[in-house]
Amino acid sequence: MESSKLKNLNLKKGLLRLLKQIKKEFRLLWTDKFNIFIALIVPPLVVVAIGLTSSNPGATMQPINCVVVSYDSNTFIEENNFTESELDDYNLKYLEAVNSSNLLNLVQFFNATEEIYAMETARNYLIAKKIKIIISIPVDFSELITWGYPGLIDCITDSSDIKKIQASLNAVYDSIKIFVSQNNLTPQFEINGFEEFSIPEGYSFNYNYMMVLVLSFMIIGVGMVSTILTVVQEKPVARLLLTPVKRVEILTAKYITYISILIIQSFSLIISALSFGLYLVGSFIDLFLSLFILGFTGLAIGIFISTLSKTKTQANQLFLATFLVLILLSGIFIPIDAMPIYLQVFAYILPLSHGSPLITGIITKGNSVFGFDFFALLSVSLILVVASFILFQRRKYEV
Amino acid sequence: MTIAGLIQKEFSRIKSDRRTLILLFTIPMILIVIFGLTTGVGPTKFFTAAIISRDEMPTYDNFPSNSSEYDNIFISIMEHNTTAWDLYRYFNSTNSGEYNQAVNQCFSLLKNDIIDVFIVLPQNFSESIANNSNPVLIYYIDGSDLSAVGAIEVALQEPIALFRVEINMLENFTIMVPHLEFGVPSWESQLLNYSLSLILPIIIIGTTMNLTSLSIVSEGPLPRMLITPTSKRDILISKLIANTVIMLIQATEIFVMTSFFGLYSLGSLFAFYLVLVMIGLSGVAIGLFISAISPTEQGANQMYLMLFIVMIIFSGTLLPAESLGGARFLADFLPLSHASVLITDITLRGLNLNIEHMLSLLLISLVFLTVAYISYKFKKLEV
Repeated sequence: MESSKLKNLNLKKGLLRLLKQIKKEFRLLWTDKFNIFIALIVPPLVVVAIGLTSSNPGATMQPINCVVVSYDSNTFIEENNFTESELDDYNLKYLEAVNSSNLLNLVQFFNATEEIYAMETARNYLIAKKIKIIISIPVDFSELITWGYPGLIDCITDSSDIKKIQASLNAVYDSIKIFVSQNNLTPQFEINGFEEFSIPEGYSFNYNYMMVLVLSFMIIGVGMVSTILTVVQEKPVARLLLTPVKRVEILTAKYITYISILIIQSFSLIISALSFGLYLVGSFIDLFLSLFILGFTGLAIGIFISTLSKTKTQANQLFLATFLVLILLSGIFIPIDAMPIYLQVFAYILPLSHGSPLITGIITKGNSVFGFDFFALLSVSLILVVASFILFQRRKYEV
Repeated sequence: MTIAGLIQKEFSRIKSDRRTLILLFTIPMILIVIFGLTTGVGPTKFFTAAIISRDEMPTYDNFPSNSSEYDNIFISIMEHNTTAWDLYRYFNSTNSGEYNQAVNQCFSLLKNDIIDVFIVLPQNFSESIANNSNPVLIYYIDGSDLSAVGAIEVALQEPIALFRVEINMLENFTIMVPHLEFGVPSWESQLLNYSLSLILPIIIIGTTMNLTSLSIVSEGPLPRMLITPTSKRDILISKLIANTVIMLIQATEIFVMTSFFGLYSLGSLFAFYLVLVMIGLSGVAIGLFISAISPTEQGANQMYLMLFIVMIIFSGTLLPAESLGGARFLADFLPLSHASVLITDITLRGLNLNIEHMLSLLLISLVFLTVAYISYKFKKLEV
């Protein structure tokens, strides 16, 4: 009986110490106004900046500049019987299709029969960034279509920006669709597409796409920034350890304090994002939990770095190294599928790679937060939390 | 103290912080080695799909016969012959009940991200082909995946083309043949070279800002030095020169490392090196600005980290510059958006230095340096 009473008493004392520590942490945080500004004001401010400038739902795509170089009027010599042909019936018809396409802007048309340096001029336009695509109609284009063979159109795209190649191919494909339809070239495959889980009309496609990236990026980044110095900068810890306060209590208090800040951060981010037109199919709670777990992982990385570092400069450097790896290998800039297997495995350990799928699943598909990405983030953060407690326990302090 | 003396003092200070120096030179090395040793880029399969064939269901209207000879050919092509498609599974529906069940299963696969798209071959698929009329393909795609939505119709042209060749349905068939100009050849290190325009500026700016953001605010003896004839301008100039020299060494290291690990550049290597230096200079200027305006070391630390995050968000690579709308001026005022264009122009397009972007980088550096000087001049320091 007595031992259980003693245990209860110790527990009460421990809780009281923890409460005092949390109070101290809040006071400490309050003295650092800049940290509060970064943690609570900057994230919604970034969302507001993007919301004010890009939440217009009527934003349309700009047509892509192109030139058409046609060799169709040149003399075509059939390989098998050496007969000559100068058919070019479909040449101008295709040009009409290019002009009709909303995705293409025809800068110039070259008839290579008359202008022998047409392709060279077109390439110079491409190098000088006047155009993004050269569409080349080969010498046998009209002949092949007339004789019942496939008509090929060469599409030379500027591939220096790998992310924009698809848009160029789509634009040329659009012109081919128009060409086929205007000239009643049958039989053709009719493709009817239906988009599921897409952003409905009235919502800005751009804004919603950007928010998925910005929310996960901000919450992890700010979580790290606001905590990387939390252990390493606190000089009185050494003296605090002379009192009955335990190391576990000190670190737990820090976690609780920053978790409270994280809760406010997540709410403010969601509310500011929703107020500028974030489309949300899933529940508010799921979105909140997704931001919370992402932010908690950032916070766990930050505190882990802080317990691992001996000086503020070292914490700073470790942050930079971690952050660089985090952003470069999380699939935001380089698709994870494009990486070799060993980097893919590493990428899936990084929290930022789970941000987009987790948030997209909730806002567009109404998925529950409790899926693979959530548990992956939870596992990573728990490992870091445990590691930070072990490191803090073993940390040497001189009074 | 003369400027030369101040520079020497600055070098001794930088040298004493060995950890920062190690980080400054090892981070680029490690990342370049990782990206450089990795060959190939791009997923081998772009779409994971499921197919529901209704071709065996009875047809009416203009198609009294009930042929289903072509659906299996299409499915087989999707399964074995395409380069961009990965067939997850297919469903053969012979009645409405089976079809509804298959659709429900496919929606579930789509919702759980197991497939990107499912294609439905309608009841009259084979009949349309046999009658020489237009066959229809229906697809349901995950609309939340922007890249998939943008690529699906062009990607479908591959199995359609192979199918048309297989069944000799070549009449009136028009197709585009893509040629990628200014791309990185397949035998070069594509991952390194496509990501170069992004990773190098981020690394250089991040590390140089890290090097300089504490250089003024953390130096305790500076206020005492101001009692001597040394002016604040001299102090700032000496810090700028010393940190620029370190940045030059780093830029040289990055230049050598990228060249060694498969840099593919159509343009001048000297221009490429100059761009690296200009990017580094803007990092040094922003770092000095942070250090000059911050009241405390911790404030400088947090400002540097936050500014770095904001710079990446508005770099024009995380979010396309066209979609930023009015916030684009922010992208234009930050160095990363200019840096990536400059590197791409030189390495992949073989162009000369783009003067407009170089001047923009220079202007950004000068603005930050000027503001750093003004704020440091009026900063109150206690001895």
